[in-house]
Amino acid sequence: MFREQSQVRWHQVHDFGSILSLSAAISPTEATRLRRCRCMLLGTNSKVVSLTRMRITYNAALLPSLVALVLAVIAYAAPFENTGVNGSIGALLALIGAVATVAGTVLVMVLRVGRRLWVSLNLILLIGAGLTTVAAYFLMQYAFAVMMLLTCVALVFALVWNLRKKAA
Amino acid sequence: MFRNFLPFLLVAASATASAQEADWTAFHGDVASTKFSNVKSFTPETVSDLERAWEYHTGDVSDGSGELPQTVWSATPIYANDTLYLGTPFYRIVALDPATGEERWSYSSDSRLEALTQPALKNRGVSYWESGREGVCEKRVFLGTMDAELHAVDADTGKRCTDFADGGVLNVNQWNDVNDVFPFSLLQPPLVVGNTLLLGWAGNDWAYSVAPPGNLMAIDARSGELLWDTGFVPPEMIPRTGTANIWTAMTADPELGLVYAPVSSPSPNYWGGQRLEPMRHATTVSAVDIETGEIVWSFQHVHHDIWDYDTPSAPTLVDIERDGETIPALVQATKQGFLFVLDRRTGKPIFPVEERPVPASAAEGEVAAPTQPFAMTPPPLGNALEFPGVWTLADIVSFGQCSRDREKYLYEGIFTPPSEQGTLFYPGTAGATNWGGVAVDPRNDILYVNASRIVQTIRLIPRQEYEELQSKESGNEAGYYPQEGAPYGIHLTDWSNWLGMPCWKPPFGTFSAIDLRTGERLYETPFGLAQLSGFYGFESWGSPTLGGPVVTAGGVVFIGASMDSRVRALNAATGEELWSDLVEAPAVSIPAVFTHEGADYVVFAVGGNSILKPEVSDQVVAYRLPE
Repeated sequence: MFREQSQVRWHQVHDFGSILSLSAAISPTEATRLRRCRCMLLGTNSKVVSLTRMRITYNAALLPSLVALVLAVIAYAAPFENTGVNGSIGALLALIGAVATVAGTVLVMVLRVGRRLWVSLNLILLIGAGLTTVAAYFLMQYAFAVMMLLTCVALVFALVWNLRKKAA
Repeated sequence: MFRNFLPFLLVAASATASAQEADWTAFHGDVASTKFSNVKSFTPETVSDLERAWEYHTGDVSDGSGELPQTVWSATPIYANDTLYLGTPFYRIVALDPATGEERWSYSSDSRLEALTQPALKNRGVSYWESGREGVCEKRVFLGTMDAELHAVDADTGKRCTDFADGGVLNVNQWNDVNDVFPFSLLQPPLVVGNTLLLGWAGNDWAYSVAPPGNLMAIDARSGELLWDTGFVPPEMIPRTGTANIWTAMTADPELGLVYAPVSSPSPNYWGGQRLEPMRHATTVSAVDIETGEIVWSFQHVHHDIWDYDTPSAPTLVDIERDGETIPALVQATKQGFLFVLDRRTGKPIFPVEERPVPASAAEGEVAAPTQPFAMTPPPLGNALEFPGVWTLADIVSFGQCSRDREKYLYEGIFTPPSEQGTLFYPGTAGATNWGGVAVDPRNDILYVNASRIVQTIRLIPRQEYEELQSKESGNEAGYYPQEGAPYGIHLTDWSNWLGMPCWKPPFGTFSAIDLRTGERLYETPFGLAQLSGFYGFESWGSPTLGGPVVTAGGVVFIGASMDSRVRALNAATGEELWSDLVEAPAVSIPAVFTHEGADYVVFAVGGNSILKPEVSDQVVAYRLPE
């Protein structure tokens, strides 16, 4: 399994080792080897970023984005009461934006790619989340907008924090 | 003699009772169409505490996606006989307990649910009549149908009044015997004055050049007998034209014995080459003697109408105090945005009305009127005389589409005739105002009105080209219309870019207060929120509106009408929003305000209208203050 993973250069899972070790699929030792190998393969700084901390920073974005996703579903589908935008194209776009934000946050958290691509992905995610925030505001779904705003703030924080760590 | 006098007494008594007990017995609250309620508990201080008392769904709704046409429901609930009565777009009557919203009875007309003359199933409510005596069918509710039936139903039980016409159903179409290309659609309930029902009808305005000539019918509320019938099209022109009908609500002054009829435009709506002679009763407010049907006076606010500038609402009666004199007046709101204030005894303007030159027409066979009446006092609503201009935001996102359109289309000011090249049409056919009309507080003669600012494009399509068109889809006040018999069909649509954004500058709708003693505007403020694909606009953009306001003695105005599906309470003194609630669709009716068992209520019928947005509903919502 390790050999197979080591041959995948472009789409290695960012903290795959941690996940595997947590799930006891492989031993902690193997997980550590995996991390080191990944760093070598990517040619990044030999200092290993604290993957746990990195995950926490993105979890801070993931949590509000998940709440926002629930609120987006409610805004669009109106399971409880009329939302004023239920069934509208705007609410559907905002829902798609919320789904993309959740998916994007998970991806940048777990995917390991080149630095430039990783930063680009983060920026695309931020733009998408920002547009979804604006959409939620103009849909007058204020709780949804606030959650998306928190997501944006957390994403900015995560991006900056991780870039600084990597630079260090 | 007594028969002649009795109706006036009854109406006068009814109007007085209405003022004291805060009933809501007619489409506009009373026969004077003031839309004023004596309810005092709703004040700027208390109204933010309003809460839903109950909610009811009629079940009579269609979004048009299934077998049934879409519904357009603009009914004002009627509060009378301690009951709330509603007509529905499936042509049923429901009677509700005003305190709880529980259904007491319902009546089905079993009418065909087909859009015979309209693009949608439409209803604007019911009428209430009572004889003053006890007994079965001494209190009646009247409902009209799309297929020209007038149903009389006992107000207590919901059973048909079999002594009315043919077993409780009057076939009004029996009198539709000239140019009868479509049935008389009874979408607006009759006006009840004493024992007389005053009845107009709606038709298929844009389809035919030669159409049924418009008339006003007086019908005995007890027997269904036709008392008189007055036409508004000169008999010698009937073989060439038609309509000039009354499709909206009417107003009456029982003391003067006059009914005020808002008469619409002749057919076809957008080309008048076959009707160049003066039609003095078309596109007018006309005063008709209630006893005889004689037309006493007509005030024509559009000459040779080729814009479908129907008189869209009942005029509102108000006694104006000016220079120490009390003038019995009426205010006629118009699609053009002018407010004509007339002496209701003579039809003479109280504020100056100028005849101003307007553009000529280049269409084949058409000769536009050289002048049109302009009422500059009070000021035109929504700044209707000034073209809004191209909206930069819409222009940028459409890569200049709006600017190119502005260059492409003809516009030489209000009353620019429809043309083959295409004309920018402002105010558009939905008008600055429509059936909501105006509300007036009779204590201070202050008028309240919502107005839309909608620019449309209209193009006259030569007959051969029209016939060759592959797609001629038409909808609610937009699309392709044949004008059969005329050299042109038409295409009418809102002026928007490829995203559906309006190409003209906001605001798209306003709310105004006007002092009728001086003619001065007290304020005009953007009203409501525009909505496109779910997204709301800024407050400063306002919203187009359909439906009208009610003003109460507590200094609060209630209004739905906006695109954003909100019902609102405004401070009458400032126009400031005090309270709002989200409902299921635009509340395009007029709310009813009344007192029942000591509690004050405001009730909205929430029907929606595809002119504003696609959402429709069958919701009725009642609000009251906490006990």
